[in-house]
Amino acid sequence: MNGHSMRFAYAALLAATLGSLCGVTNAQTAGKVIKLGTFAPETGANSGAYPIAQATSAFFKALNAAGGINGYTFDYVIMDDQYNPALTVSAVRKLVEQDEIFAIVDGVGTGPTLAVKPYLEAHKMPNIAPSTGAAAAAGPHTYLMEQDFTNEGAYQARYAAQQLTKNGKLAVLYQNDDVGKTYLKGVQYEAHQNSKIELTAIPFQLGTLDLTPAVSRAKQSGADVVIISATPQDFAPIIKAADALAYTPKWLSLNSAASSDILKQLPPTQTQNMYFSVWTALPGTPDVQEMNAALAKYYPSVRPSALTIQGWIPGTIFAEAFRRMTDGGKPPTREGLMAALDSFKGYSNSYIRNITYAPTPGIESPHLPRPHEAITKWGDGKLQLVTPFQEVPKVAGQPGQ
Amino acid sequence: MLIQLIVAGIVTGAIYALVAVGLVVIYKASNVLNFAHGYISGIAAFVSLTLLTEHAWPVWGALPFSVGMSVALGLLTEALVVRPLRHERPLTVIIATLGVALILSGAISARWGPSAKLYPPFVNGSAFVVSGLAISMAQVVMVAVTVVVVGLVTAFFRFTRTGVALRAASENPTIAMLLGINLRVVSVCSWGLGGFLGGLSAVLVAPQVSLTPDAINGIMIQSFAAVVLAGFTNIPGAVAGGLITGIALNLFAGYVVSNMPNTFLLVLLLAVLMLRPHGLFGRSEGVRI
Repeated sequence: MNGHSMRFAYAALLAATLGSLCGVTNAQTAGKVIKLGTFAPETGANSGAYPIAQATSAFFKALNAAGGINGYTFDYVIMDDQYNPALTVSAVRKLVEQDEIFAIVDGVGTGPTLAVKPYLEAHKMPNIAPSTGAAAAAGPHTYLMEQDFTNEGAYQARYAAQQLTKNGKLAVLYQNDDVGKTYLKGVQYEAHQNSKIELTAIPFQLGTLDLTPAVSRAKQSGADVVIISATPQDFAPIIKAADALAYTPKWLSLNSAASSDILKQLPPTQTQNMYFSVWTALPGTPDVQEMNAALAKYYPSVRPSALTIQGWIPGTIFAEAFRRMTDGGKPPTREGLMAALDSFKGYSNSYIRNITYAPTPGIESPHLPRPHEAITKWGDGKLQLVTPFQEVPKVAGQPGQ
Repeated sequence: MLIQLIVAGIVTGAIYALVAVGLVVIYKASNVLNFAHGYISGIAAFVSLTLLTEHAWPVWGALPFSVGMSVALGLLTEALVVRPLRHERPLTVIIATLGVALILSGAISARWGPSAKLYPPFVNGSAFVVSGLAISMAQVVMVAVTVVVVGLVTAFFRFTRTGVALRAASENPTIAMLLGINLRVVSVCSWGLGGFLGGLSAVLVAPQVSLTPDAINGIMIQSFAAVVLAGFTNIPGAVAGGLITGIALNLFAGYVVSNMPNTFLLVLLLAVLMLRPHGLFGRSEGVRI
């Protein structure tokens, strides 16, 4: 390559790079197809979370089949990051710099989301509704949808203390990572508020084959209620380990663990005492019919579950913002999309209730909403509400709405 | 709690032992640490899951068939990867087994999807409690099967012509060949036996875990630890190594820190390798001058 062509190549490379960094480009809207991207563990130890991304993909396929939004259709690209933050960074760089996506929708996982936050924020790339409740993940361009893990932990501990425990002894089994530790903070906060509660905190490593030691410690503590912060694939082994120890406390966990396919196969002696906090619509209800139909059509091997509902919601949030932005024929831009998101005040649909991103005086991190939650109990082969959906109190000092 | 943790450690240690014996058998015959072992084993869990839940096969039919699939995969790996590379350096063959692992991982993900699945228990019923010690029938079955299989494998190596030939070939392939031992047959037998032991361990452990494509491969680090403790070539040592690993991990997690079992395991391995490079149960090969 001679000097002239080298200079030309550098100029072309520079132009392409600048183009990818400056809002939406013509290439992204050519033919009115908007390219979106995400990262998710299609393979690796946390591949059990992959249906989240498949549900988002099903949402966009169904949306396109219905004609899209204001003449625009969507090309949704999923990159496999194996739930490995190092791989997430390279996957997202490819999405942004080579695929020239318009926005990230529904990145899966706390670690991966935190790993790419600096890059996405620096590139002013909207990151909409990643699957994480870590308050630290929220940012000027990053819009969360889940309850903050600390508020969630406190909410569960409060219900356990007020409604479930007989002897005042609670145990919390938490995964030894950012998710588990943030969650633990909320449980401990609530335990400190209530002098009658004795709390035993037990960490465990994700993917451990034998969880007997951790569960044995909970049993030895005498806890009659055990709160679990675990990925869906670690939830079932914990329950099986408890069953092998003849330990039958009341269990309280996140709805992401509440896959009916899994719960139906666990010992009834354990499932008869299982409670879950939920911030989404319940699987198997009329509220989620649209998702069920889309999954059956586009991903027939994926069973509808709490995880797929969690994946469907980011699609609904993006679609609502995109609709608000392009109504009246306005062209789509990233700035316009974020302005539309920032207009959300108590936005609800049949899948999620009360999403607010609008800047509010005194709110340090407005893109961290507090969706309404309820407590459910497993019974008769499905989740049943035991409390109505309601506002979740904020733990003192936590950021967010 | 001490006895409870030891009992649970023996149960999981039995699984590590079965996997470790499979690794040792292959290593003895081929001088190869088989990094595809976890996925070759894991295929038995997925095939049997499909047969049991989608085709309503009985356990006595589904398990032998699916373990047979692992045997077939072991034999295919030997024929298509290991044998053509037999004149290459061991490192080349080891890297090739890593390639096989990636292919099988992708194939399992493509066929069964990434979602976690629950494997139906072979033995129903919750735990029974004796003198404060809880134990389930599934755990009893797991240990009993391991004891019987390891006993049969040990007898095979000690008392059968093929077993003795395998041992001879692993000690000195050249002399074994001069004695008329067919090294090809030895290699085929060891990979088939490795597949059998791996497949069996996978179907035994499957009801205890959430079955994702990488779930069975996830127990390889503990099994490699058992192999290191065994000194790579010692079958009874691999069994002891598996049990020691299972019990040590449980005691560490139960009494010290419950969230760093693999860190503890790697520190333990490092200590063993520094103090006894040939493992706790292996023999030093010495240095020829």
